[in-house]
Amino acid sequence: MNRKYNEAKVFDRQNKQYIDSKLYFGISSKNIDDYEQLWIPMFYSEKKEVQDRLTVEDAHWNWRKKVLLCEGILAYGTYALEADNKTQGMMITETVMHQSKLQSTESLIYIEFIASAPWNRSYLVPHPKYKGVGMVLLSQAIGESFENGYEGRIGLHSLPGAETFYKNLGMIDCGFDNHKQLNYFELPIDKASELIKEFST
Amino acid sequence: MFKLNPSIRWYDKYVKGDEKPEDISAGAFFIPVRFLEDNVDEDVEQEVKILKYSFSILMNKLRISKNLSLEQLSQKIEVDFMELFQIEKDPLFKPHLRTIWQLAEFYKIPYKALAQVAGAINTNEKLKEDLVKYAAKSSSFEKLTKEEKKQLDEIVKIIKEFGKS
Repeated sequence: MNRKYNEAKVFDRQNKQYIDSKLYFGISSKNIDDYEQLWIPMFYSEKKEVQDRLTVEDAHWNWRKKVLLCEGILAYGTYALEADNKTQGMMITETVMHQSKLQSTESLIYIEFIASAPWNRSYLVPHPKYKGVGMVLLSQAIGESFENGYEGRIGLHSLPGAETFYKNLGMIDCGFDNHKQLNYFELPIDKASELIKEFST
Repeated sequence: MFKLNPSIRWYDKYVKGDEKPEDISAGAFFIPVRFLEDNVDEDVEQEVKILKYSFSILMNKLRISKNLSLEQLSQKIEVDFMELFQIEKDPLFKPHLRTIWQLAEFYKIPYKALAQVAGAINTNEKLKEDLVKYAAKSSSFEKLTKEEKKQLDEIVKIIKEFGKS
């Protein structure tokens, strides 16, 4: 099956240069295999800092099933970023059902799931490999939001360790969501257009 | 599919940039520790009650050991005052995972270990025993005696050890 993709770049930290990557529309069985065979084993690190921080260890058992379920539903967008022939990051978005919390009459793209491969995270490995996986995936979501007429609005529930990343990006912390047990963040439209406008500068 | 096509300048600013935090994990796909829900048998429920009682005491003593009022702690870790109050006063209160995370960071206790003490399932038997023993010894004064300080250090050490295993 030919999957649609965008050319994108990630930054190779060791060689200090950009390398080409492909941002695929659709999570393939290769991506899920990578997740199960390459990502998951790295989550079971013996390092104490890692143990303290990780919250994903329970997540994998029905992960494949969940992803495949999303693949089959039109309202979900699934994305995988590949570089160096490996899955570097994945994202799942929902485009229909979620309302904005900042402007309650408006819709947005809700990010059901976003993650970078463990070898790109400094708290998991001493020399993380690629930089920018999250930024590229997130920008794709913001772009999809514009295409859907949502003016760049995106929302997500951040894991505690990632809150700084989303705050730095200009997302508004809308507080704790009892249902999801995580804080909800939303990107306001001015920040979204600022980010996309800069694509062509 | 939206055509993503940023310029190199964009990449330089948003990707290469300075040292940015790179943890991006988001989404309820990740919801980690499963808390006990309603339909569990009573024995387990009883155990969890006792454990949560120990958690309340532990949180109270740790706060006092840092000479902080509930209000000051609430400001320091950006957690609602009422929630911290309930954690210490109501053993049946179910704290938010984010709060446990903030407390763990603040007191430098492994998050996973603290989440288990806070009443999640699968708590290690030995840890459970030590916690209950600790809770039994504790008084309710607003200042720690030397003996209490020693006991507190000991139980925190045990929890930290447990976090490593």
